[in-house]
Amino acid sequence: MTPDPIRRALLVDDDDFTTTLLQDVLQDMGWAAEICPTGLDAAAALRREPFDLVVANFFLPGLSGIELYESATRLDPRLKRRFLYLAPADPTPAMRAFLENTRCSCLTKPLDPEQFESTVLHIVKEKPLTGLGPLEQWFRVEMKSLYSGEITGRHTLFRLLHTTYIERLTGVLHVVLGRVEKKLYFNRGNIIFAASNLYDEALGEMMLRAGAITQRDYEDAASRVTPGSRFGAMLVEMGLCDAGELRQWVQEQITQIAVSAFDYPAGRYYFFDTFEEDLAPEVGIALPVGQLLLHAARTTPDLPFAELAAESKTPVDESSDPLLRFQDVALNDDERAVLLTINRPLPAKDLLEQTALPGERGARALYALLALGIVATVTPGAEAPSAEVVEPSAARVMLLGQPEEFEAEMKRLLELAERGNFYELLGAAPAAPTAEIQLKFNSLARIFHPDRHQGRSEWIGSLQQLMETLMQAYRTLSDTGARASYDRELAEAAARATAAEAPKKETGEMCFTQAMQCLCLRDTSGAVAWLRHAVEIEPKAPKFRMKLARLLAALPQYRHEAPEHYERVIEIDPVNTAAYFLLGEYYMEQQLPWRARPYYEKILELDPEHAKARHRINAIDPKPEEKSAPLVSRLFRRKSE
Amino acid sequence: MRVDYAVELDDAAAYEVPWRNAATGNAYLDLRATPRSVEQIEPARTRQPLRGFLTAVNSADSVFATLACRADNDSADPGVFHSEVALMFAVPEAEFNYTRQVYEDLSGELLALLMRDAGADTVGVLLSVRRCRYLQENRAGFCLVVHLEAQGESSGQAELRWGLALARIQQALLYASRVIRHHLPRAEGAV
Repeated sequence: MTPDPIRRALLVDDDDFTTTLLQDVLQDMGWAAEICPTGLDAAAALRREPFDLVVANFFLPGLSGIELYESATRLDPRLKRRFLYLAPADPTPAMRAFLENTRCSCLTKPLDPEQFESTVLHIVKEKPLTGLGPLEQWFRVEMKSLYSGEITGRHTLFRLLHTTYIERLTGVLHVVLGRVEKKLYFNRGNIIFAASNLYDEALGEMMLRAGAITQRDYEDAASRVTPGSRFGAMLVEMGLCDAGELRQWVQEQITQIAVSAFDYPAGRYYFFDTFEEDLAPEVGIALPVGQLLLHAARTTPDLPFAELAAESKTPVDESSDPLLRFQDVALNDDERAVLLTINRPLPAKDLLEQTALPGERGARALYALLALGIVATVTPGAEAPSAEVVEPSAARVMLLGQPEEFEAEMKRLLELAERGNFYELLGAAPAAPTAEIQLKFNSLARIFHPDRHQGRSEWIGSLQQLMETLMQAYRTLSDTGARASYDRELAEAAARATAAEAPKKETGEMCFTQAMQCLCLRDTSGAVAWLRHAVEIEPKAPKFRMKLARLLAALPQYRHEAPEHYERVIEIDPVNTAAYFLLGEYYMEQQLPWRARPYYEKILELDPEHAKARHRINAIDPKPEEKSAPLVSRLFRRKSE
Repeated sequence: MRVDYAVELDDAAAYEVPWRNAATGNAYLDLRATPRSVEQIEPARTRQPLRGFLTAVNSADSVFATLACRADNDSADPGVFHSEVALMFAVPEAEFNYTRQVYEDLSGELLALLMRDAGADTVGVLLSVRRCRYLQENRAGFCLVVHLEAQGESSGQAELRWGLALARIQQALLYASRVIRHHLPRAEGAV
């Protein structure tokens, strides 16, 4: 049975205390909840995306709770039964009349979370309003939504990985799943590195658990790791494993980190276009996302199989993109059965009926193929791409078995890609028909697809580069308009190699601005992620590190990380009295005045007039009568400080 | 809202349950067993926020029970209204009432929840872990005393602020209840 998809609620109240509590309750219930402090914000959110439930106060700045109802139900009448109002204990006659007329549910403040939960469940026992939309949008994430968003179900992760894979993106996907944080580093669609804050997913822990190293080796290696060096490299240096074994372990670790992200049904994600260039240089791993997607699609629960099996509108077919169609993944019997059944564009419902696989097996197999991009939706009425599999020529088949010749051929093509034109690259005549262009491209794609050469990590970068150019050539020459334009360019023999616009690199300042925007939207996880990224990009800029430290110090789950960043700021800028002061404040908050004192003293060394630092030092040694003051008086006295 | 917590284990500040005050004739009332007894509690009879608080915190949705309360204007300063409510766990199968760490964790949790209230600084809450003697079980344990104090330009304003803040505390306690309940083993008849 397919469980309910993640539902989404909009909490509309300017009372943070209540909304954050309700957000916690809803998240416990497996919901995703967004907070809007004003009626106008809520109206905008409802115009932007669907919600299963709106929890609103009557008194709202800008647009009242009643006006919000009118605006939202005009937009989507289904919301009429999806409003839950938070009312005062003595509602006004207007509120009572409104509730009577609309039959909206209402709870009075202070709220009882148990009562809130049962009311919510009662309201939404009907079908969810937030669906997946048309099949052609199931797996695609719009680029503008890729940079950050909510994970509202395991399917969201498939969408993110699918988009990263299909678009061959480079960057870092950072997922925040409650207290668990994972980062997947992509290079042209392949995962090259992964990091997680779960202890179990540390490389040393995994190797220790599997018995590959002993506790003593582990501790020994860990003690030798210095900032900037890596545990894995240390193991190799100590002779505890060789580079090949390390590569296998890192690959296993990446797989574990990535696949276990599917264990969490809700969270947030952020995608950064850049990352540190020196990542994992000692391992050089490129794990094809296709394999991960396939593994996850076979094992992940709570995916929308029922919806897929019922999809009867949009036809699906083998992908027209040979790079996706011929990717090197080992399909299982069910996936092969579904693929073999496709001989023309068919809606998923009809296709699955034809495969006759029992239960959700067919839908799961089709889901996997869609996630991988081997199967794609086609626009009804569009020309079906040829499903003919073109065998490479005998000469090229031979090349597959000869590494030296293969490498030489690859280099030749790379040179052509750089200096020649698309016709030369594909080995086609300028007058070749589109069918021939496709045949030539399919042939080359089957040989030079990076997935087929994962054992040769030294080739992967070049192969990716080659495949990108081959794809570009194929797309240009198989599109009539694009080809005509390209031909004109060639005919004019004008080197119109427009200096490719330098890729827009993120700067620390850009990340900082993003972080500030997140803070305005009360998205603290996002702000932390952006600031961390700013610090990664410009590690010696005290401004970003200082802001990050202050934010971390304010968040219980990250608080322990703050001192390290303050210390680093002090290292970069030894006369930064604000950093000393904030570090002192941090230790005072932690009830560690003896640790705070040296920092306040340092400030006075730098600035003897610093009143706050002097005040703090005096407060660390209170006068005897202050110690005897009653606790509640102490509480209020602080206010006047 | 200013929030703080303390562990005050001196015997002079200790509670016992059930208690009886021979001088005033007041005694401990089990509001979970007899919710209507709230009417016998003088400050709750006259002050709706406290009545609502006691009813909610002793309800079936809560894992807590109250063991004593008081609420009045500060005799020295009419612009201050304060109340004190002592709470214990009503989860008989767990050893919560005899474990100091549980009370300290609860205080920490409530502290974090209440600190989300960015409201006025005119309200202060002190969560204090105290000793408590559970006479029926003949065991020494702990309880949590929630001291709430509100300041205002007038006694009426102070009391109004106190009522609003008490509602916050009620909500935080019921939320903590929910979290605790979800972590309790499911047993027949469990609270």
